[in-house]
Amino acid sequence: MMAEDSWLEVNLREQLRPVSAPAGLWSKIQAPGAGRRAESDPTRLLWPAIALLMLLASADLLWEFSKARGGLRQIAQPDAAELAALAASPEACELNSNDPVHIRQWIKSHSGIELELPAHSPSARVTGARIANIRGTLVASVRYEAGDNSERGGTMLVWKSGKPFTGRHEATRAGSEMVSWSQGENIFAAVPAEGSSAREACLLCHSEGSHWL
Amino acid sequence: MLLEDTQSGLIDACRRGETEAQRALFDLYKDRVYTIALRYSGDPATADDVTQDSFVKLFAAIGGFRGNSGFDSWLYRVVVNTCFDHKRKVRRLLPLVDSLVEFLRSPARCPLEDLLRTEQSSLVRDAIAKLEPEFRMVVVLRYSLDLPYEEIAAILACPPGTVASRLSRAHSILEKRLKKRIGARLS
Repeated sequence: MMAEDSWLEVNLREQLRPVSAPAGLWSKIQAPGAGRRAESDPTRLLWPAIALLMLLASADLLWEFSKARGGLRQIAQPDAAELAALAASPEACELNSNDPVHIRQWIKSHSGIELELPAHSPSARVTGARIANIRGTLVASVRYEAGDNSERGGTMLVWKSGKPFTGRHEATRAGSEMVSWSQGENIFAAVPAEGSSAREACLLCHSEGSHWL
Repeated sequence: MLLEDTQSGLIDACRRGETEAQRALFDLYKDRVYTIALRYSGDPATADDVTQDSFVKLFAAIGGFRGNSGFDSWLYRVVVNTCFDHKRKVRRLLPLVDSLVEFLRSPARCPLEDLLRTEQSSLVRDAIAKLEPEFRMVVVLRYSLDLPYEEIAAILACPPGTVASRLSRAHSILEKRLKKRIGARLS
């Protein structure tokens, strides 16, 4: 072992022996800009450029991912059949209340959905609410009765669209018995109870029902 | 004592930006600085750059030298940091060219012996070049400048025990690698 160490040390001293500096180094040190030589190295610009490109690529990736998520959200929107089934579901309301403010707060706390309900409606009264999950989308349903007949009325379904709707409040017929519209970041669907008309489904907010139906 | 006074006077003059003093200090240390740079990088062009950068940094920072540590250690620390910072230009063919030049310049002896000797030198240099930077630097400071552990520790800002363990580890690595390459010649 000692012999090996000696051999190694002898070789290290031999291979690493001191050398003389080449002539001309002093003139290089004295040359104007010698201290700035390192800064002028063009490869110094390479890394910031690569970092910038990586940043742009990441931003583009995020943008594409965001768009893809938006697309998925659109795909996950409940369809008319699912909404009709939810409105017709015999399951009882999770919250039974005739207080629009209480229902609004409950829906907000259980689904995050902001929902404007008229404080007093001369033509309809709310009876309760529940939250359902349709393929990952939380849908709040508010049941209400229209006029004096507890058999008439409907269910209003609300879910987040994922992007704000900037147009005016527009209603469309979705199938023969359903009215839907967008407002703010929510999509609404009013489904009349069995035996009720689509016009009656609008009574929760419109005392005369919807004029165009 | 005279040397210390001379060195102290040179440092003071360098602080005042006197070019003649800078030149004298350069002449005093250039070979040692270049040796560290060449033995660490294994590349004369890189060694030129490191030497040049080291002295430029030295003259720019000499006003901040407080004299708490020895000037030599302070200067070597500048060189070591410049070596670590410097982008290593890998020129794998260069050691072979060096070896060939060395072989051609060597006095006439048995050609086979010279060839083996040159090949062995090349293997040792190659093994040193492949050491991790912190191990390589300890080996260079120890065997190029024959510095004691305490001074190497002051240069590298680590305890002497760390220097000893790095050197021991470097020996083990070199032995292991060279045994594989040279084999029976080690024993």
